[in-house]
Amino acid sequence: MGQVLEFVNIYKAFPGVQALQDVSFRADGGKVTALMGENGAGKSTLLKILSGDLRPDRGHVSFNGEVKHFMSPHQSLNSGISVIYQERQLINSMNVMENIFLEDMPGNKLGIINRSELKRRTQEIIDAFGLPIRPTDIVGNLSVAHQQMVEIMKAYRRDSAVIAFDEPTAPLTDKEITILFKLIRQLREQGRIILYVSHRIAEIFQITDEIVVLKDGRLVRTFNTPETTERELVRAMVGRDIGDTYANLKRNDKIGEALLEVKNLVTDYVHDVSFTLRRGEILGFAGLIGAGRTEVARAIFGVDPVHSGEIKLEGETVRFKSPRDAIARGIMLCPEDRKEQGLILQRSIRDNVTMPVLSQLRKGIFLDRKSETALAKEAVRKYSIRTPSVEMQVMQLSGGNQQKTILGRWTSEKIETKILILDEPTKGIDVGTKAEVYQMICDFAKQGIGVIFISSELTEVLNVSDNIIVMHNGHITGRVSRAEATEENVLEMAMRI
Amino acid sequence: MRAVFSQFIKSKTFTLIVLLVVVVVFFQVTSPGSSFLSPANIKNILDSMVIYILFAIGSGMLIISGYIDLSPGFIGVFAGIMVGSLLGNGIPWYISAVLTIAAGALFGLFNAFLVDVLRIQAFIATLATGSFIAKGIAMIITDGKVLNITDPTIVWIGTGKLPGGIPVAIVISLVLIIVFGIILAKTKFGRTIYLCGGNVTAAKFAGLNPRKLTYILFAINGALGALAGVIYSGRMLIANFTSTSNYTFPAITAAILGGISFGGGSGGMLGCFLGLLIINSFNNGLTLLGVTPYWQSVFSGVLLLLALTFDYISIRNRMRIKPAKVH
Amino acid sequence: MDKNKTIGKIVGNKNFVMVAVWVFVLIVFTVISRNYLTPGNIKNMFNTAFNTGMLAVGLSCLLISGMIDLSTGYMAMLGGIIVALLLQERIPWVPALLITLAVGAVVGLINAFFVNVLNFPSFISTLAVGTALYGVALVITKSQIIPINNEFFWGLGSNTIFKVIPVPFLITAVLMLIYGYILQRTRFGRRMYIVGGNQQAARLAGINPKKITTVLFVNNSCIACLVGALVAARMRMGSPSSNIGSDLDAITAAVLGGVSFMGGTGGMSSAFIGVMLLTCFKNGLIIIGLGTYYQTVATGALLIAALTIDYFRERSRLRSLKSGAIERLDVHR
Repeated sequence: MGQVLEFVNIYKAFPGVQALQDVSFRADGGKVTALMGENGAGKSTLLKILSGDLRPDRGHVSFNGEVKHFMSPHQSLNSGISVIYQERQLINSMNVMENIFLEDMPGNKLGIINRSELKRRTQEIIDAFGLPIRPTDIVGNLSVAHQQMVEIMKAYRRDSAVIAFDEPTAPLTDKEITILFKLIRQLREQGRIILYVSHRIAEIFQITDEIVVLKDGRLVRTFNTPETTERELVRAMVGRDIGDTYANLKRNDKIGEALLEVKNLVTDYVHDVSFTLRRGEILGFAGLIGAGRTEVARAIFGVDPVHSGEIKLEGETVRFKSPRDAIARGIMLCPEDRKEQGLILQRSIRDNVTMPVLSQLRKGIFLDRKSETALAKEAVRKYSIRTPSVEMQVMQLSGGNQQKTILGRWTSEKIETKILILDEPTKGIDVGTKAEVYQMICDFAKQGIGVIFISSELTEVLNVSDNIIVMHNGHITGRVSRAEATEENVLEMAMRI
Repeated sequence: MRAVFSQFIKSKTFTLIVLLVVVVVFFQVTSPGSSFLSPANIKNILDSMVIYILFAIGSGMLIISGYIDLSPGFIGVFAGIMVGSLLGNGIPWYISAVLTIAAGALFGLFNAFLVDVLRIQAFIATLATGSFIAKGIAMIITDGKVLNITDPTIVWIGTGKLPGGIPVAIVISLVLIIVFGIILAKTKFGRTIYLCGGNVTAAKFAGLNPRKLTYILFAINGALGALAGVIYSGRMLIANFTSTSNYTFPAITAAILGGISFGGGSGGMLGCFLGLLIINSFNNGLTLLGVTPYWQSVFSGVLLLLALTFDYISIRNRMRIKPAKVH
Repeated sequence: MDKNKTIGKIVGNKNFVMVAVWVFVLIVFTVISRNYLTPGNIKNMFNTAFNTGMLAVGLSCLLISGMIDLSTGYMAMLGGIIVALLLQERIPWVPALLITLAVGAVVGLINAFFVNVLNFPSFISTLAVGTALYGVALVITKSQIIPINNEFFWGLGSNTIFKVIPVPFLITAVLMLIYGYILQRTRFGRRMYIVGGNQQAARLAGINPKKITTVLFVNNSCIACLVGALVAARMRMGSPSSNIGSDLDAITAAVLGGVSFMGGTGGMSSAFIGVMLLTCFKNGLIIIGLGTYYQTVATGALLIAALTIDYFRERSRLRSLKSGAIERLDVHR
């Protein structure tokens, strides 16, 4: 086959930042080439140039020797290139078959759609994947994991010579990940060119042949996957030796008395959940996606109504009707979906940090800009948020810095946090920042805060938490301490009925 | 210092001021006897802006928080009828006025109910409340007849002048827009409007109360609409069922022209005011030049488009976010 | 088991509820007044329905794709005026109509230019254009009506089939069928939903939202001109006061029928039902003698009632979803 995709001397700048600087590499057919790097390293920009969404300032893409200057996604698709973005590009109100064949529905020359062919071909694809989805299911009603698979099926349908995946496994359960990897291997056998962007090092070793590492917009090294180690990769991405992330954590060894007692909690989504969180404890919640952990958090935080059961904070029974109530009592949530639920993207860092404490930042009836700015600056300093100013719009920050902004909101000096619920805090964050976040979590524990740490990445939940609760389908299916927990027994509990 | 200046040049406010200056200069030069900037004419311009200002305040705040409200004009119609009926029945002016404004607030709360509890889209909900219910009730009460307003105080509010010659109505509207402008820009309440408009879920998760805010803002808009209706009837000395109904769209348009964008991104009362000033000065100038009302319509449409074009050119090089969708 | 599912599907269907309400309205008014189902009144209802309905065709397409066109009412007004003027100049009606439609196309392109090239929000931009059109209408007519003396042309607007169904209504029905088919069964139609549902996804899939909305703006303005021309035919004059606000009625009917402002949902069948419901209801109120005043209040109440029923329906539908997909009624707007 011998297909080749080349990036040649790509330069791309945005106001204030040089996103890509002289990046050149090639990806061959019949291989899976990984693209790794910290947030802001330039991976997404590169993919956007590949898909025709952006145009490089200098340099070009070349496919099988032919220079390509894509002026639109349309042209890139026509050349046989399919990019699967991290944010699903689906139409939620339409069904599966219409989404899979979005821009290319089978039909006659007049444009009339051949419904039966549409359904038949969709079913073929679904069968090839082996998923319990029907072509007529409305995409908006599917689970997030299934929605992601529909997105992947869309690319598969295109039969593209080049397929690029951007963090495809984030919303998937293990079952779907296995299906996806089987598919990727199949595509590789067929000689296609596959690009794979991910932060999950374990997966990189599982599925890729070559690794290209970007740092600060430049290509630093390429590796042959079987010949390298995790440590080497991390060192290339971060520029320094992180060492053994978990072993180096400075943990809290003073766990105090019971802080939060949840008894027989029942909501629309969880059944009979009971647990205790103690002062200074990091309580991990492990499980597959959809296990109900986020829903427990929402119930505690006052978002979802509680049907029955009891929640006691410091010995006192509480009933929160809204997040406002929970926050007033010292319970804070960093939501799972940082961008949709955690931040107001168009506003500045300052606005986002001061949100819950505006009443305390006043001079008379007016807001005191000076104290607001001071508060925000303190958060920036404390968490090393990389930004030229606190007035920067949050949407321009990287994922890691956005997460830090939310943490800054809940830990300023004007607010008394007793319990911090972190829901997937390291999602979409690079290795270097992840290590920072783990230490921050331990630091919170040291201050006597009770931390609920929800994560679908087994490794981090097991290694950071003091104790772990495992959930499946809205029920608690297991409890272990860090000492007793292994990936195998926790996984088994996560899948237990 | 230079940084502040260059940022100002790029800002929306600057664009508006430039546009205003262009309009003013043009008409000052072309109007007969340079009467455009005469005190009498300036008073005319401000006079014509009164009702629009009152509508723009409430609607502007609602747009920032993500809702569109088409009802204030119709609430004004209702208010004119209600205050007329109450006065006609001998009820003292202050009670009549207060009751009417309270009724306006009630309509606003009803709007909020439709939008918040029944999840009806604001465009339809407020259209229904306004053009059907408020105006409809007004029509039923009057049975198509026109009411006369004779109460001296109400008439004074509509037409009277304070010592110094400034009409009361202008003072009321200017004071209100300044007050709300300050509230919007500098208080926690104002900030909450921008935050909830930007992302209502994130606001809720951070401890704000978007629901309460919605009710408050709709109520304010309803009350302001009613106030406008009272002033209008006082001024016209009659209350009928079309009075202020056509003032809503232009007010909203001027607010958006002034930079208020859906979804908490930007905008404030100053922009609203400048937008209204530009449009009303323009119309006034055309009248001075003897342009028939027919052509005025054409010109205002064209003016609006020109203003939007100018806006587009001046922000093309700036980083901009996509405006959030309206509900 | 399957039979229950089908029945459940039909009853749960939004259209079913609307049709039921419509039938209810018809029955109530027929019982109350013997003047309701007379040939003369039925013809009236059809005439109103044609106006609202045909405008709803063009507007629904735009709403579905995420745009709005507030110049529509003024465009219809101007269309009637232009065709009247052309007929006065002894131009035969076929070319006169075509020229009018051409004017509509030009206006549509203007709207599309402002929205797609200059990125103006469609709400304001089309409103501005509409205001300008109104002005043009006033200038041309100097506020006078323009009589039409072409008797054949009168027929276009007032001829009837079966003595009660006016030709314009038939045209509307045919258009709705055609557009309905296009929306559901053709690539272009599905793309309207795609563009309205998620513009970014459309773009990244190689679909050009601007091309689609441009076509739809032109389509809408042309249809509006046609409506104006047909109304002028029936009225036997072009008038600068006709069709004011009729587009809001059309939008209301469309939204009543399920077209959403956010784009991406709704269809011709539900728009049609919305139009019929609104028309028959308003007309019924007139028949039973409730003045226009009561009419306005009652119509508003109907609107709210219909939307409330819809809300409860949506809520119970979401509640009964499988637990595999966790759906939440967050604080959305």
